[in-house]
Amino acid sequence: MQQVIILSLKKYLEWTAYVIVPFVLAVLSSVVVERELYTFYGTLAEIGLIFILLLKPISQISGWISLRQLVGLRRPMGVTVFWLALFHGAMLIYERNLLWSDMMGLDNYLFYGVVALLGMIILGITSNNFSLRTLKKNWKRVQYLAYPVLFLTLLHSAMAEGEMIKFYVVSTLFVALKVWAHQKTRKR
Amino acid sequence: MKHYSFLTLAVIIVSASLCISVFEVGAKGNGRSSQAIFDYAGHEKPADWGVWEQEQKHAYYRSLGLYPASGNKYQGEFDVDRYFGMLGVNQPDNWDALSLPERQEFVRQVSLGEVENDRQIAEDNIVDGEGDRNENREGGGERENDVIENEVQPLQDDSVSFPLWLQLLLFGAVGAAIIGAKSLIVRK
Repeated sequence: MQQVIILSLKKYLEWTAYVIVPFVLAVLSSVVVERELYTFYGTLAEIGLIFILLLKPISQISGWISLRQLVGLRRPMGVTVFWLALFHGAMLIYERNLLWSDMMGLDNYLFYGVVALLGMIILGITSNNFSLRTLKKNWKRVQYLAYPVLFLTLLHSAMAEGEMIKFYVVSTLFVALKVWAHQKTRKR
Repeated sequence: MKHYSFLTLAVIIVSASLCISVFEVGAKGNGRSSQAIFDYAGHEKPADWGVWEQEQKHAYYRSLGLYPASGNKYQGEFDVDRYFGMLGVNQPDNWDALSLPERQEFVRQVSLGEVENDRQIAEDNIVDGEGDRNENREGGGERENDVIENEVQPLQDDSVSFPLWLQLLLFGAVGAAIIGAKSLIVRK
């Protein structure tokens, strides 16, 4: 029964990630030119990224089978996050009329957003079977980019909101969970 | 192994190059940045420009007499005729040939009323703004007031026209959705 649910969920997630999300975002973004909407894309992308990257350590620590099965669905979830991040960045660059020079500087939150987006684009375009077959072991290495992307995303949003506490709390929580999960799997 | 490491590196470099190109095209417009706008107008770019909101930037542009060349977006350009109209002087013939400090000095002198109204600048005028300053100030002031009275409200353009890079992105997303749908249907 659980397997059936997971398979159905996988099917829906794949349709969402590969078909619905890019189509809806393209249509919505060309019709509604609102900064709030584009910012909302970014918020969703950030939440999604945190969820995806916390999923594995939490499933390893808790040992819940259902969570472990969700780990196998991270790719479509990641592709959804990629589309959200891409449209968040691209539409805000357009809507805010941002120039390359406006996004530079280590004290500029846009800089971290741009770097995170570049990482996300690399992750997005390598999230397919062709890349998996071509890159083989290196595919996993490329996917490790998700970690710096997470920290850069957190830094970007925390600086944008002017509240650094979120960056420190979520980063610490993530590192702590990863260490805990690593120790737990090593003992096994 | 080396082959695949090289491939990973190549994928990363190509992806990064593509992304940078997209941002370059999207961000720089026709090749002139906000820095170029300030340089061409003879103004200092504010140090914290990068973290300003779009409205703040546009308000600052307008306070200097810098209005978009077309539509409601600057796209790296401004209405040069209107700018000099606001200043109350004709654009000097040799404006393009002037250096940034010379332009800044010219604008400073105009704001102090030290440059004769409707007179084309000569290099000497920039440094030695001698002459009948009171008369110039009155003349320049009157013209400036006229312009301010007749000032058009902030430019509004309800029509949405996306730049080419964004159109490509939007069509690319729709294309990806179609390919995604096709591959998911075929897999069934």
